[in-house]
Amino acid sequence: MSRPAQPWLVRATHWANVVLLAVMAGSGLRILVAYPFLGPRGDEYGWYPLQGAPPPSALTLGGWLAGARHWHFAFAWIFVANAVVYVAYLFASGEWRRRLFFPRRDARNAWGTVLHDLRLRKEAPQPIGLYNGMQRLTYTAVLAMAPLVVLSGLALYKPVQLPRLTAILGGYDVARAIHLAVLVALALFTVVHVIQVLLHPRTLADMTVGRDERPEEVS
Amino acid sequence: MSGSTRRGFLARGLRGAGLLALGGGLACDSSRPHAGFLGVMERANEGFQRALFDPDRLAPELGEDEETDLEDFPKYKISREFPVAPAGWALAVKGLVARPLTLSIADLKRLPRTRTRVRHHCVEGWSAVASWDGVRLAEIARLAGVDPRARYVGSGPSTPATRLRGTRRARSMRRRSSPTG
Repeated sequence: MSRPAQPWLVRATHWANVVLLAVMAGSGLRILVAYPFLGPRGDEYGWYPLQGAPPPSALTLGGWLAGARHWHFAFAWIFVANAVVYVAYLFASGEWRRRLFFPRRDARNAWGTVLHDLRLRKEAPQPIGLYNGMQRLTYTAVLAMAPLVVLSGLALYKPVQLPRLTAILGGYDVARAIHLAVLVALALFTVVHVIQVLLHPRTLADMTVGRDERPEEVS
Repeated sequence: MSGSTRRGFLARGLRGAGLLALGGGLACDSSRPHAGFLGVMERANEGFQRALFDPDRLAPELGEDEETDLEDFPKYKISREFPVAPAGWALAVKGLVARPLTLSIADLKRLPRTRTRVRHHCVEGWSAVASWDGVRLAEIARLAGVDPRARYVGSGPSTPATRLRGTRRARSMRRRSSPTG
């Protein structure tokens, strides 16, 4: 049975996400410009290295605080809707089996991939189906960030009306740090992801025009 | 191209796309956030907030030890001292109300006072704890008989005494050292 490496719904939600995350990151950074500190007033966090350093305006979207908030709160819902479509498809189609990380199947393979990438091991472990173990671990971790960024965002949006959520996250200011930490993690992922795609251009074709999965090409 | 440059490029592209769509009714124009697509989503968010909001769920009262030092608050004030209302100053309550009111300082002082110490979450992203003291806005709304259709409260000067706007608020921030409110 041949099925596309990346079914059209995965491709559509993936590229929608590129645009949506760019809007969310840009408008979020513009909101951060208004108060580029982490931690409550008078008790700012010592561990945050960028206290008082506003993000460069080239990375921001929305022009001013109110504009950026409107962009952020408008596109947040579309981001959530896109994620819901993706997750519903993931489970309805059975795609989750070949995409998500399962320790029993993927852990050894992931570790072998790390050793190979660090030049500590000569031969690369064979991918198990669509991905190798390290890809599954990374993509699953990125997917897990989505609920974290949405929940911390909701706590920032209405901390008084959502007191339990805010408390679970450690309070308003911790939620704000989590919200920014997820952005940093996603940005780092994006850098590595783009480098990996440039090293393996075949995957770009899979994610754009869409091609059948051909295990024999994977070597 | 690094991730950050790419993001900047995308942001510029999106800004351009927003401008191109101007007049199309679905524009995203940062300088007109109530119009176009941003306006549509603003109204959707208002619906979500109305569903979420429980008027009885208030910010929790905090202890005195949690109060943020006054020096750590941003300085948006027009003076270090509390402004003093000029003679004849009055608070006019009008709009979607059954009984438009004009409340003098003496009237306001006769109303039930409330005192609360809560964490304030600013739209800018900071949070800080302050004590507030004065007449509840809800009390003034009750007296004026606010129409249930009213959705916003605005405040502003209607007399030339604009420098003293701070005193118009039903609640005012207390100085920690000041024993009276």
